[in-house]
Amino acid sequence: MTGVSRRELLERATALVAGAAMLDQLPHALRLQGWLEDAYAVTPNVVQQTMNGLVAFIVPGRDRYSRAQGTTTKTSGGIEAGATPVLIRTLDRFLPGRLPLSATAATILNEFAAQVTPVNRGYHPFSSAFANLSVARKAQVFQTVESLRAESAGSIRFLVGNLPDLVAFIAYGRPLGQRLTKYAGVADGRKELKGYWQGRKIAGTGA
Amino acid sequence: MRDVIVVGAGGGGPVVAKELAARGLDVLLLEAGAAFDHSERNWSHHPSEANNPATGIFRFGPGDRTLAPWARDLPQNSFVWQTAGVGGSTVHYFGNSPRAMPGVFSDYAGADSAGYDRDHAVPFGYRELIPYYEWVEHTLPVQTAAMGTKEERFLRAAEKLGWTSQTSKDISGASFRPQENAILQPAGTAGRTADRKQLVYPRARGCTFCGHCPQGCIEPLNSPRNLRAKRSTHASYVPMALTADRWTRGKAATLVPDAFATKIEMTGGAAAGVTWRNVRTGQTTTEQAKVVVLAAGAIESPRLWLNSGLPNPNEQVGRGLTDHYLDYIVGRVPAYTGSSKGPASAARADFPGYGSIEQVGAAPALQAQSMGASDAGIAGFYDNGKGSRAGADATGRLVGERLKRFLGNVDRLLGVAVLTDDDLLPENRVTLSTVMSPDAHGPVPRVSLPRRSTRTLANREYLAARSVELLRAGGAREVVRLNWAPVLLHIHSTMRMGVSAADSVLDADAEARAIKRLFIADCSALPNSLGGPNPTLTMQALATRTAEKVFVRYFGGDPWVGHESPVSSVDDTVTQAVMAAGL
Repeated sequence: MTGVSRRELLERATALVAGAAMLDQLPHALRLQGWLEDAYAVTPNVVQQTMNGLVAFIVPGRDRYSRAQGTTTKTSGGIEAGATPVLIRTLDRFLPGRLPLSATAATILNEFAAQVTPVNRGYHPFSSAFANLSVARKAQVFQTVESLRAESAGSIRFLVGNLPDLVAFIAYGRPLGQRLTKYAGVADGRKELKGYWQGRKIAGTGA
Repeated sequence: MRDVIVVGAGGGGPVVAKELAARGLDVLLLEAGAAFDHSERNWSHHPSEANNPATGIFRFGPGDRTLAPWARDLPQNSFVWQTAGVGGSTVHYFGNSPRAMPGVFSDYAGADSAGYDRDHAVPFGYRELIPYYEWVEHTLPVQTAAMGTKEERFLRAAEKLGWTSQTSKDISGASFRPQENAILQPAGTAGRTADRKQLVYPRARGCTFCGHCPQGCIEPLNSPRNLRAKRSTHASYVPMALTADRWTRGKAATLVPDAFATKIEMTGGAAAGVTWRNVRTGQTTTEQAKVVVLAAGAIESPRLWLNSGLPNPNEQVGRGLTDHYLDYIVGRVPAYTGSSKGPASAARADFPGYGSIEQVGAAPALQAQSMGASDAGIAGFYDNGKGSRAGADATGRLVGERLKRFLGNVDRLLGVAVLTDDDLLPENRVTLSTVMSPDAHGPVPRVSLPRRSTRTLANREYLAARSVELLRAGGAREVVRLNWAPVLLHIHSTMRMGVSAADSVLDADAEARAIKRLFIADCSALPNSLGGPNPTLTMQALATRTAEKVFVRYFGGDPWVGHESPVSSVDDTVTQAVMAAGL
């Protein structure tokens, strides 16, 4: 998708998110035009690739999505931790409907990705436009979404704004993610008691 | 007909239920979420199982987790962290129980009084609330927090900066201190071992420093429910309400979980009952009551009011949401901090006129989540024009290598949360969504936060700067200010009490101005953001006062706070009652 004004971009994205939220109420014509059509057409493979591209952006590792965005790291990342399928399940459970929320999110990221990078430039290993972006371009996608100031874009800002923290939460909740942090693991107690500040176990009342 | 129906078994509803059940009233306590029976088996220490917003045990949704969570319309980058189920958000809260700033009460005459949201002062004096504070502090109980490494580092840093050490529960000036927490102090083996075999009650008592406050508290292992370390209402007020016929000469309250209230019934200008829907079967039930107490939380209480078609003559229902405009500042320390261990927050500093800051620690998943939320873009890439670092090295979300660097060792982090004294603005509000489809309980709530006052923004900057200073004094080498998008943990004042009838929903006794026999006893009843301190204790003190007003006004009883001695929820009589009742 090229040559689309910011206003049109906003209108299409707004219709898409509204479509995910109140699908049955949308006029038939609206459902069959613009991004909503793209969202229905998006394949599970593209959704997975897009989410892999997102997970690699937040917690990069030694996977091909991280390499494709220009990251080189010696440690494992979110994709190796198994964050992607959990992310997709979480999104789809959060707001169930005929159009999975993961497909909505993937379509938004890919449509905005197409806006921030010229078409046909460079090598594109993935079917997801977002997954093909460099780290800086992925950041630009988020910046573009967050720059939408219209009230009608609020639900888009909500959805996209929560993706980074959701990915981070999921990735670092996985066993491999926890190991990356040198976490001691869950436990029923710790040897960590250091006593009481200035030896005081009771506070007074001074009013 | 019931004497009283309480809608919501979260932080406030069970307080009213327990107090009135102890007076012998017939109390029905409705809860939309799960009962959380057998929590010792069904809760999980893993954030991925407990705190996932769509599938977690503590999500805001029906007890049947194969179903979707309940929807909210949030038209901005923001996150609401609430739990449905018995205990409500107190099952995941940190237990922090400071008293409010005296400056937010109507009788305050300090030299700095202009520094507070005086247009929305508490419609009675601070001294009037103190006996209710003391009652709740004894009942929960609230105790001075023990230190782990992260608290010790926070407190020593504050001392190094020359800040004043506070030894009182009452805030009289800018100062730091250990938290007053609704967490039992460690005893026996608690806090002294990680060996699971030695952490069984009664060998271990109180806080075991497990580091899982946000995942609920089931410690010490095998402890009776009322002796769990963290004093959620699931462990304190609810067991007392359900056994009021055993530990005192009251009448046991009736708890109905999975009961989503859909309508407040009215007769002749007064509340007369409640209709609710069983979220598992879809069956609808109506019961009559002499008094209804609404305690569904600062989002659902206005939603229920509006969906019930109740009068809203001054159009204040749902308006004036305050949330402390939270922020998070985190530093990397080249030494052990124990950030994933112990109570989630056990040290704080208060700055009257500005707000509060508090030390925060958590397991990796929640640490990571807290580093991914921002309205100031992505650190190192863009800042949305909100690039104030307040002295930190960077601002915005952490992603990629920087996130991995920060989380390279979770026990070398030091985190500080900013709790802003935020002004009440009418446009920050809860309404009914016209964008999202209604669910089985009616139109869903829309939570809009379009603007902050100049004073709120300045207060947040001040507190962020103090947090950065503290982290550097605590040894942090790299400090990031997240500049959070609204993270709604402390949600208040959407159904507030107030001095002015034109600018409040409730009178000074928390009874609705427009509807007699309808009271509100959750954080929505708070008239303001309390100056910054965490709201639960003040809300519970207010709920205790509200229960007393209900009893005196509509049941011909006498007040008891200040005339009787409270029974602690950890008293042996309560333990025996809880065990006899099989809770």
